[in-house]
Amino acid sequence: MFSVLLLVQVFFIDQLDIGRANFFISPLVYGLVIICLPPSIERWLLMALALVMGLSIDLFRNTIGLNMSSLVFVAFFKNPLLNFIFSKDGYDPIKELNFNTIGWVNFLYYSILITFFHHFWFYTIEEFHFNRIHILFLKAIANALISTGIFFTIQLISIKRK
Amino acid sequence: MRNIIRLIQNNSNLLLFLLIQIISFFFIFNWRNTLHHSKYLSSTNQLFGSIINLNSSITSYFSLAQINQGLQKENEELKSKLFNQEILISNDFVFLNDSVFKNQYGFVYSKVISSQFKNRENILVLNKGSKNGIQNGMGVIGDIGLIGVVSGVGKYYCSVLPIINNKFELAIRHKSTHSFGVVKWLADDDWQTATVEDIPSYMKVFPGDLIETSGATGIFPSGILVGKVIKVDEIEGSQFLNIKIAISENYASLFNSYIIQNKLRDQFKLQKQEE
Repeated sequence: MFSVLLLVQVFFIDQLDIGRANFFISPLVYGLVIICLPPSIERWLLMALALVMGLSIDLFRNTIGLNMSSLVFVAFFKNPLLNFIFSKDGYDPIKELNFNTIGWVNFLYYSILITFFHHFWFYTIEEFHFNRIHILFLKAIANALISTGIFFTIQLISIKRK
Repeated sequence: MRNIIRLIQNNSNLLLFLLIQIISFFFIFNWRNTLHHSKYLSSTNQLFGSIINLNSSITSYFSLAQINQGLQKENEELKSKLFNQEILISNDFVFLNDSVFKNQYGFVYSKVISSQFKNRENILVLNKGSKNGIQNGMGVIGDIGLIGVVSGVGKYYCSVLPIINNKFELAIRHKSTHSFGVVKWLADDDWQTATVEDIPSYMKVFPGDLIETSGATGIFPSGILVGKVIKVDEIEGSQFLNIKIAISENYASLFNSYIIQNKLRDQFKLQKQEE
């Protein structure tokens, strides 16, 4: 899962050529590695995994620290966000988080919110000033929607195989 | 004392989070403030370079036809230049046989194995490194025009700062009026455009005009195509024009590139220092 997502991000998503929209749309799908893990995993372990994943993406993209910072951010705020969205018994803490275990609507809601935070943090650090915050905001929303769509396809493939 | 330990125990996750964030911000500022990348923590190191190279060697088969077409076109142009030169000499022109001028620039062919065009800090990776005599600060051109400047060199791979990077700056000139300017990539540019500054506002610049390298930095020979003017803005109260150009190279499909070595670069630098 880890290496597959890494390869998909670096060699497929980053190389897609979609004309003028290239500049606007660049979804970060590697976050799925953190997002779909069961909530019962220790937080420090989650952050360590996020660190390794972010660092290896960074090494390919030549931006040391950028993806690392944003993915660790996601890992840190994942459980509070889950508790905030659902009540305590809204999900099973041992099972993986996907649309089968927590339901279509819940997963959609959760995934869009968490990917939005991921992208927004990423673009803000990349740009490093707030002059164009409205564009950053739009960019984060659009990319969050697209990457959620990609998550659904990935999960459709990986779940049916079992 | 016990309270402090308990505080750390209770907030260990928060502390770990803050620690990692501080480390990553340290890295970010590190590469943001220097032009050259670190040798080990980047895609020019051997492991990552070889993975990228493997990928490009697989995918390049799909675009062989396109690569061939580009090479044919370039061959055509070079041939036409070659034969035109012969005619000039045979017409009894005085031809200065200046060996220094002839040998000034050396070219090394290299393949673009990875190219980015979606971020603010885009970096390309080429499959030539210090073993091939590549050094920091050499220029890189493609089939059509300028690509960028070498910014990091590993043993077998090197990374290139393209026009579409925040840090890029190069002296250029407007082809028909020969007025000098600077090309930059500003926040409102997308991956196909760049901005030219410092061309005086009394110069007649029209959309469709060509922008080429001036040779003033000693990195590139003069006359290499950079882009085409698409929009000219006059800023009120400023003596200079604000020109948007369309970059001639398409960063989404790059295959061939040539790294330029200026053999007189050291002399050029000395000259600059004396000024």
